[in-house]
Amino acid sequence: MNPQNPPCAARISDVCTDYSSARITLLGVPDVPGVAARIFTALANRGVGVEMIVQNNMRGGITDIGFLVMKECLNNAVEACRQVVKAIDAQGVSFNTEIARVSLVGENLSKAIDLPAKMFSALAEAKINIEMIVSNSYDITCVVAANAAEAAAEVLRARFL
Amino acid sequence: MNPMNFPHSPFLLSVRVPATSANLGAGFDTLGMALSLYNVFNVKELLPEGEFSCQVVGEGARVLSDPRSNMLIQSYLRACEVWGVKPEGFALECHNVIPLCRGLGSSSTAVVAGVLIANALAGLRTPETELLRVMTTIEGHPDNVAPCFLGGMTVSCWDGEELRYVKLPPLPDDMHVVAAVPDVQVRTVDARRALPKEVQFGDAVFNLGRAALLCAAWATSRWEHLAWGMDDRLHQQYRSRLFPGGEVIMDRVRDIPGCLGVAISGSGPTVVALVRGGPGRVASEMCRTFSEHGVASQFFVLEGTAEGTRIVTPKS
Repeated sequence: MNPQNPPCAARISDVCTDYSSARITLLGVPDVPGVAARIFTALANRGVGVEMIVQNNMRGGITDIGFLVMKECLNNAVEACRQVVKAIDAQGVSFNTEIARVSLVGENLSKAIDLPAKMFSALAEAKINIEMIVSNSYDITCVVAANAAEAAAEVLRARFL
Repeated sequence: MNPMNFPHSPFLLSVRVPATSANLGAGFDTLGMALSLYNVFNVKELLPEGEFSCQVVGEGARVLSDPRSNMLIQSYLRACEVWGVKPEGFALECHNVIPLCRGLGSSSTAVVAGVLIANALAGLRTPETELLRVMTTIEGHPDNVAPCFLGGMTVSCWDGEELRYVKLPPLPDDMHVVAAVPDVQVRTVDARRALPKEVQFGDAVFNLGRAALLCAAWATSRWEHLAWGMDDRLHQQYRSRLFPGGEVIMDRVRDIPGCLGVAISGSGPTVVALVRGGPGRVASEMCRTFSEHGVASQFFVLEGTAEGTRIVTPKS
C-alpha cells in the first residue's frame, strides 16, 4: 500500500459544469410542521423532481426554501409553487434560470476535511459568488451564476487536478 | 380592536402588503396592479408614546432599521397627525421581500401599512376612500398605493386633494406576471430627468388610445389587446435606456408566444411581462438578457392579486 495514497483517502477525479437546472425559491414560508411536505408533494404530483433543497434559518417564524429543478420542468414547477404559496400564505416565488452547477467529483471527499474550505477559497479568490452548496462523499457542488461557471471550473481544475 | 387584549400573542397586528407595478404601459401615473409578492409588517408590542424600535429582515435590513427614517413609522406619525390621535409607540418587525427602489412599490407598502396601523391602533373605522386619500397625500401619487391597498388593477386620478379610482376585474388564473429586477438602482431624479419636458401631440393621442384600450380590454377580459394597451410613447422608451439590457429585454420578450404585454414597472428598472400559460420561456429569456448584459438580477413569477392589504390580529 502506498502510504501517500491510502485506500480511504479523498481522490478528486474531475471538475464538472452543468447548466441544466433552474433555481426556485419560495420566500417567506411559514416555519411550521407540514409545510415542506406540502410543497414537495405538490411538485411531485406534477412530476417535478428537485435537488439541492436548502431551508435557511428561521427568522421570526418565517423561512425561505430554495431548490433546483430541471429547466424543462420550470413551467410545472412554477405552477405547483404558485398554488402552494397561495395556500400557505408565503410571501412570493423567485427563480433564476441563469445558474450553473460546478462540481468537484471524486471519492471519499468527505474525508478531506479542508477540501470545502480550499474549494470555496479558490472561488472567492476569483471573485465568484456561491449561491448554493451541497456536498457528499462523491462530489462538492456549488451553484454559481451561469456566466461565471466556466471561470469557476478553470480555477478549480488549476487548483485540484 | 384593542391590541392590549392579546398580550401573549407573537404580534398585536400583522399587516401583509403586496408589491405593485405602476405606470403600467400607456397608463403613466394612472394604472397600477397589485402583485403576489408581499412585505409583512408585525407590530410586536406597544411602547410609550413616540418610542419606536424596528427590526428588518430581508430587503433593506441594513438601511431601514433606524426608526427615525423608517417610512412606515413616518407614515404612521403623519396619519396620527391627520386624524389627531395620540401616536402610540411600538416595536416593529419587518419581513421584506420586495426589492427596494426597483419600481415594485416597496415604499408604498410602508406607506399603506403605516396608515392602516395608525387607524387600527387608534380604534378608528375610517372609510376606505379617506384611508386612500391619506395614503395618496403621503405618497404624492395614487398609482401605487391604490392597488397596494385595494388589490387588483386600479385606475386612479388625483388632483392634489380629491381622489377618484376604479378597481378593475382580476386577471384569469392562468395569467402570470414575470418580473425581472436588475440589480441596478435608477434614481428617481434620473428617471424624471429622462422624460421629455414636452410631448408631441401625436404621442399624446397615441397614449390616450392605448390607455383607453388597456382599461377596456382589462374590464372585458379581451386579453388579446393587452400588447397594444401596454405600448407607450411617453415614458418607457426613455427609461429603458437607464439600465443595461432595458431596451433589448422589452423587444425580446414581447414576441414570445404567450406573452401578452411587457412594460417597465414604475420608473424602473424592473420589467414585467404578462404571460398566459407557462411562463418558462419568458422567464428564461429575461434571465438570459440581463445575464448577457452583465447585470445580476432577481426574478419573480407572480400573479396579479385581487386581494390588497390584509390586516391580521390574533383573533382574526
